[in-house]
Amino acid sequence: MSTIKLETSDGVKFTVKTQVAKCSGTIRTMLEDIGINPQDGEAIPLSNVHSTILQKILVWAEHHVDDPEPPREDADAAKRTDDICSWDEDFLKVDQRTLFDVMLAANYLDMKQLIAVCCKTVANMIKGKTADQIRRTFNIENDFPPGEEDKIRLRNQFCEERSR
Amino acid sequence: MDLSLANVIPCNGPCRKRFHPATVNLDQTVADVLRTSNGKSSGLWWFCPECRQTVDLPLHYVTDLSAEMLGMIFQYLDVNSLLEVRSTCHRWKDIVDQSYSLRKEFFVAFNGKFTMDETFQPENLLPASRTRLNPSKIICVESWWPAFGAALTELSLCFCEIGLPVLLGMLRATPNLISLSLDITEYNSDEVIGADFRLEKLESLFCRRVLDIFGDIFPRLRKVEFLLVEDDDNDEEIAACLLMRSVQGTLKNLSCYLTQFIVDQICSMDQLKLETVDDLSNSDLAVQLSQMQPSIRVLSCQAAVNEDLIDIGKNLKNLEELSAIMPPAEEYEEILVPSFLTEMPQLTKLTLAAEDDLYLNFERIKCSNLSYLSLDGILDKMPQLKELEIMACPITDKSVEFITENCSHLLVTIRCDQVSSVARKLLNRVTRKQEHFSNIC
Repeated sequence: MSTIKLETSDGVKFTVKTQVAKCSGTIRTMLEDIGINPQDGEAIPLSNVHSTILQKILVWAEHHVDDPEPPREDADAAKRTDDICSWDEDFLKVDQRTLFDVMLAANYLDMKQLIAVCCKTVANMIKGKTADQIRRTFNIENDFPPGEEDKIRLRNQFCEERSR
Repeated sequence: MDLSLANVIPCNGPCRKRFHPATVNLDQTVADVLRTSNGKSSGLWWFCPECRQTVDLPLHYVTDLSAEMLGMIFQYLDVNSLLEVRSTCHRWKDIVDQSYSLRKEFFVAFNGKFTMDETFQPENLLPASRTRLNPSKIICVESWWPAFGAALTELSLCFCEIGLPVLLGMLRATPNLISLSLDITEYNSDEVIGADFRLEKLESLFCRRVLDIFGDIFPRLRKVEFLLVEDDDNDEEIAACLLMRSVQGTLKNLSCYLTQFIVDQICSMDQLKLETVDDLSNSDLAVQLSQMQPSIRVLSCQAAVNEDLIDIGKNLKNLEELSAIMPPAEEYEEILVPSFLTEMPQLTKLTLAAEDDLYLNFERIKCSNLSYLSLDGILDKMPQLKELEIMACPITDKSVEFITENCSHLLVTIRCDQVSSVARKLLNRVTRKQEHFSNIC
């Protein structure tokens, strides 16, 4: 089985099955289109990914390596967030910092399915919460001047209709 | 190869040079301490060689995800959550407000009788994509409408008091409009002014008065719906036909009470290729129309006689959906076989209703592509119905519900695998109560 080497931002080298590494669109492009030849033993530098995160991402890629291409979903189905498989749910039971790091790395590595499942997880942390609860969940500073938030919240006194 | 172009963040010094977030990949405890120690500042400083000064280094921390990533997360939220998100902080508000796809469900209804003059200033208006103005007196909206209207894709004016010049002024400011509904029977000033704009994106128009200027400013209509005000001298129908003529190259969908005059006009439009037509006053007109418009896929017709429907089936080879109201029973034999269905093999959706008691026998009728059948309008009219046979044809939940609720005396035979689980449940419940109710699913 062919393998390639990846080197993370903190200088750790990973030896990975080529097939697993190709879960990353970025690496796939480098190997197939640009023709980087990993046979000579030189590691591909992933200067934006820390070793702890890459390790986690490789676990995910290993588990999902044989997944079929996801079907093209219509707009309504694409909005669903209750379709995260239980393995992914457990996989993403991590602190926020790790979750966002995985997400950033997945984005950098161009792993669409992993990005989607991360986005859904974060969306589920937002759903059903008030603005204040959202701020507390994510440690966001309320940078609206006093009173302005109420105005935004009211939008205006006569014409709000929240949904269809 | 430089892989580092993704996910760069700007130096917050004057140079705005961009560099990698991973340059500050801190342990969470350290990050937390730094973060909480001093409000906005990360507590970390960096000498930027471009700016030649020490600048505060933004922390690579959690919710400081790029706007693009946050936008991707927000895509999974419903309207109510998005409204909360935009009340969270400036940055999140901007991300939502600047994204068309996130805003597209935002809807603002001006409910109430407002007088919209110079003093009317709605503040903090939600950047909606859709809006409805209910009975208001619209005199002047120049101060706020342009900013609000620019993002609109759907606009509806219901029973508003408005003059034509003001309406045109509003429409000039809505270049992205896709759908427009003008539920207005009279304009309090219809002074004709030239229009120096066109709504190229407008696809759908509903109106009660058709104005000559519509043809100039709505050049690419795909769908028109007219609920014309009645007049003695046919002016409104003439105006409606003029509008259709001017957009015949793009028009696909027509919804209007179609008279002989309108059908004659349609038949003389060479480039018109209609796909959906609703609603013809009788099937004789429908036959005439079907000869000239073979592209029709969806048709709705009143006073539909079986013989005419046969001709329509022969003319419209692409007909997929038919909604027909059958005329009173006395014109028929006691039991009508809807043989027109054999001429419509492509039909996937059928809605039948009757003007009076009507007995239909679907025996030996084959509709192999039918995926939707509604007989509600027929069953409603048949309180004395004793026997109903539905053979190898799907039936809607609503029809089954009607049968089970109103026709307890009815002997129903359904031979079909395509009954939904809801319908099956309803049928089973009735079967238990009614011994003479037979049900073979």
